[in-house]
Amino acid sequence: MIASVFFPTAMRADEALALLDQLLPGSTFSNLQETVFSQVWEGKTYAEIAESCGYDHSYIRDVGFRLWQALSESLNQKISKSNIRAVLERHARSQSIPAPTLSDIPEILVSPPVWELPNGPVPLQSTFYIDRPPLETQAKTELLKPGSLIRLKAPRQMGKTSLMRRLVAHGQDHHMRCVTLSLHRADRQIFADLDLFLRWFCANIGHQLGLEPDLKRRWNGDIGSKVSCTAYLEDYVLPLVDSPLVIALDEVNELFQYPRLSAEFLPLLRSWYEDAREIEAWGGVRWILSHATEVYVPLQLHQSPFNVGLALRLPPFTLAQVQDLACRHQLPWAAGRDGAQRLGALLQVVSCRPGLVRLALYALAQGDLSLEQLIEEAPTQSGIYSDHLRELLAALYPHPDLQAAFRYVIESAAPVALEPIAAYRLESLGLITLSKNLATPSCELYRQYFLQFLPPSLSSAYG
Amino acid sequence: MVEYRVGGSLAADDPTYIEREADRTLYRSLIQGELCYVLTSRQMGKSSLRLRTRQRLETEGMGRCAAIDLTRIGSQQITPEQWYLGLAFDLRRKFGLPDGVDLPTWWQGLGPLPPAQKLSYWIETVLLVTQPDQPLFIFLDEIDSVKGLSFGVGDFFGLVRFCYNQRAENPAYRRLNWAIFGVATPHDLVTEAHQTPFNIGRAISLAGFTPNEASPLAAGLVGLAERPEQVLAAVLHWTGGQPFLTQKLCDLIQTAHRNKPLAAGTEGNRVEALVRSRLIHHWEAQDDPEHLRTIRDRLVANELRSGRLLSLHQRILTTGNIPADGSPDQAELKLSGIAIARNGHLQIANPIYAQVFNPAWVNQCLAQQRPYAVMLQAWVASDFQDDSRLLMGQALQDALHWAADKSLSDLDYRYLSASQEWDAKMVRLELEAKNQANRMLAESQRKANQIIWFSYLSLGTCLAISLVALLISLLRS
Repeated sequence: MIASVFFPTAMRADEALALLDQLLPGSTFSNLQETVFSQVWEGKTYAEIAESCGYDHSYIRDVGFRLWQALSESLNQKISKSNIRAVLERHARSQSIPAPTLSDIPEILVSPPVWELPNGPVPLQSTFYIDRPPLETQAKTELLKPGSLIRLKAPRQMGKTSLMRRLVAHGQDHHMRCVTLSLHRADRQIFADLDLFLRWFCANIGHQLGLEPDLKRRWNGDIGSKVSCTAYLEDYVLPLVDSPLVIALDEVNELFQYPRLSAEFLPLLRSWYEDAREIEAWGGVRWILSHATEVYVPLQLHQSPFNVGLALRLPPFTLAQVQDLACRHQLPWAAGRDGAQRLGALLQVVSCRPGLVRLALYALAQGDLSLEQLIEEAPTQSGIYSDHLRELLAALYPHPDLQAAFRYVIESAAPVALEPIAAYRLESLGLITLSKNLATPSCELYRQYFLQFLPPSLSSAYG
Repeated sequence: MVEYRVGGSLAADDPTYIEREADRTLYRSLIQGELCYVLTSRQMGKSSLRLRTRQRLETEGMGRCAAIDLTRIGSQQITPEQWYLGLAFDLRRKFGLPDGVDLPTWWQGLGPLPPAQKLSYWIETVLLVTQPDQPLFIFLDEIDSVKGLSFGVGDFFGLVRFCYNQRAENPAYRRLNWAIFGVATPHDLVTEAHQTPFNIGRAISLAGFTPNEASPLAAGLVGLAERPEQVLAAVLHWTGGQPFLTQKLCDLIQTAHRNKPLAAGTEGNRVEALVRSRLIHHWEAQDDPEHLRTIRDRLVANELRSGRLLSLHQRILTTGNIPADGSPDQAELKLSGIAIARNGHLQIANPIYAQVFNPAWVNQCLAQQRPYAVMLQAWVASDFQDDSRLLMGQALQDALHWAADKSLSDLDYRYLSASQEWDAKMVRLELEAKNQANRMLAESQRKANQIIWFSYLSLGTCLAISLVALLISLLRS
């Protein structure tokens, strides 16, 4: 259990093979050995492997046996099919950067930090923003390329908006003009109509750039909203912006709930992006999109902006990053091996989700309650997460179908399959994690809280 | 370092752009004044080809070009009037015509003419007149998006055709050239023979990279492998030269072997390991940017057609290839990208597709589509005991019809044959029951008749007795 907390993104087979290459320089594996290794790594039985490769069962078992024997000899410890994962992950851990100790903390931090309320995105100048290499550098490099598009994908509470703000600031440092549109801030009614939405889009961009929107004169319904919108941006806005322009769209997933609008707007976005290669005006534009879930709108012709550009999935924190953040919160007990163990109890409840971790560390830094108390009260109405949890409950409240689907997830011991739209909506709320289309609660906190407070389902499709 | 480009179109000067036969044919045909169309599957490099051709036409001074992305003109709510005017508006902007007369006002001034005619009139009296001396090339991309409009655009295709037919009478039209790009068959786009421009144009086929064509891609592998050409050969073996997959796999190799060069002799194994771990394994989760999922959707999204497409694909998978017959289903399979035509036969485009969309995958899809899925599940749940979950009558006939052209799992056949047995048994039982009922009916009728006769008899006797009694009493009195 602890191992899975430490490695929320489990090691992939190719990473494991790469690690073996590192541990055992000079050894080479045959093609078949690699296949057997990879598939065992993924949890396949010898029989399944034999079937998929077209070999005899006993032959594959033999190959496997020899492989473990060879590995046991070279690593000097007993290795078998069942412990290979644990052994290699242990090696990976011991190789990764050691957790920072107090002495590693930059001096500036040792003076009492300015506490900031840990809700919402991390402020730009905050000392509490933890880099997740190579994420930030990758995104910043990409942003400097003309005509680029960066997609930040992660559920809520993972730091999308914080990263987006940093990218925008990075753009400004490089003399770019920046426009940020948060789609969850828009009035619901503008999503009902393409023309209304595109006008909103143009007016906001114009406004943020300090231009007179002048839509009355410049918008021409006769030629259709999409042509009108493109002409507005291409003929009016872009020529007036004499430096590169960053257009950041936060929470694009808000659009997915309006399939008709999405089916028009997203392809339009993609075509502007493609235009960077052909039309000079668009060449200077950089796009940043953030979304909490996969696009689940069937986009006609796959004209999807989610198919191009640099895709970045925001990973949960690693243990070392959590310890780093704890140090920055002046919680010295969290450092080192013992600290890792103590934090483990917290991480079992909230996983390594940056938003939740940050809230906990903030509360601990205030010194009002102990770690044990915090963990115990976490899933209750009086715990530190109560506002966050109530918000989620309120978000589920108008949707009995989502409630039923989520109840099904938290009541099941194993991952379960959900109806796709419900699955995506729960994922975008950050309540579940989807893997191979199977849903699990994204952290123990949610399971415990919602088991208590979700109204019992009367009848549901997930009987 | 050469950067590979995974997804999206390539800039005209991208070093990983691979020139193919189609580049030369398209360019040559366009300057010879032919109507050209490139209709093929997704991510084959259509847009990059368009971009490159356009740039070449312009730099070599062959004329002016305008590229119109049709997804950008249409929307579900748009009216024909807006669509045609939008097209004219975009053409005007792309050709950079002077902003003289306000186009919407000019357009409205034509009154109640059909919009296609207004566009035609605009092309003849404005576009061709204000650009008097040079050839004009119009590239229409994403042509298939017209299928999403709420009205038919047969008239538009008729207009394109008209522009070519007019050449004999009006030499100005000889300067106007069209090239059409998209994922569709000509028949999907326009059904009326007199409107279709496709039978007077030239189809440009866009195939995967051949090893010769692809050789510049090896440049990005120099320094990462002892023998870059061998690595590239291994890549092409797996991708069949499919442009997206080829770029993606090269990119994966670049990342994986940045710090540990690929040794001679290990190329095949290493490339295979990457293909298996990064492309095939858990492909639905790893497929980013989306490529394989697009193919999957194209095969399974249309419920009416999916069964036929899957069984066709299944046949190609099991037999290696099937004769090409030009049927709509085969055309659709090719448009999905999964199959290509070679030497008069259809085959799976590359080993990656064959491994991803393998027989087990097909079976899984068919299992989800079976019209009797719910009943089958209940039957299995009852440990194959609950006969009321079997199919009978019309439902059975429908299921058998659906199953006829497919090869299904053993479970399906077990269920269908159990259903057939059950159906036959039920028919027999029903017949017996009917006979029994008839016999019972006859018997009870006979009994009823007996009773009736008996009652008549008793009634008669009673009557007779009372009559006699009456007579006696009369006689006595």
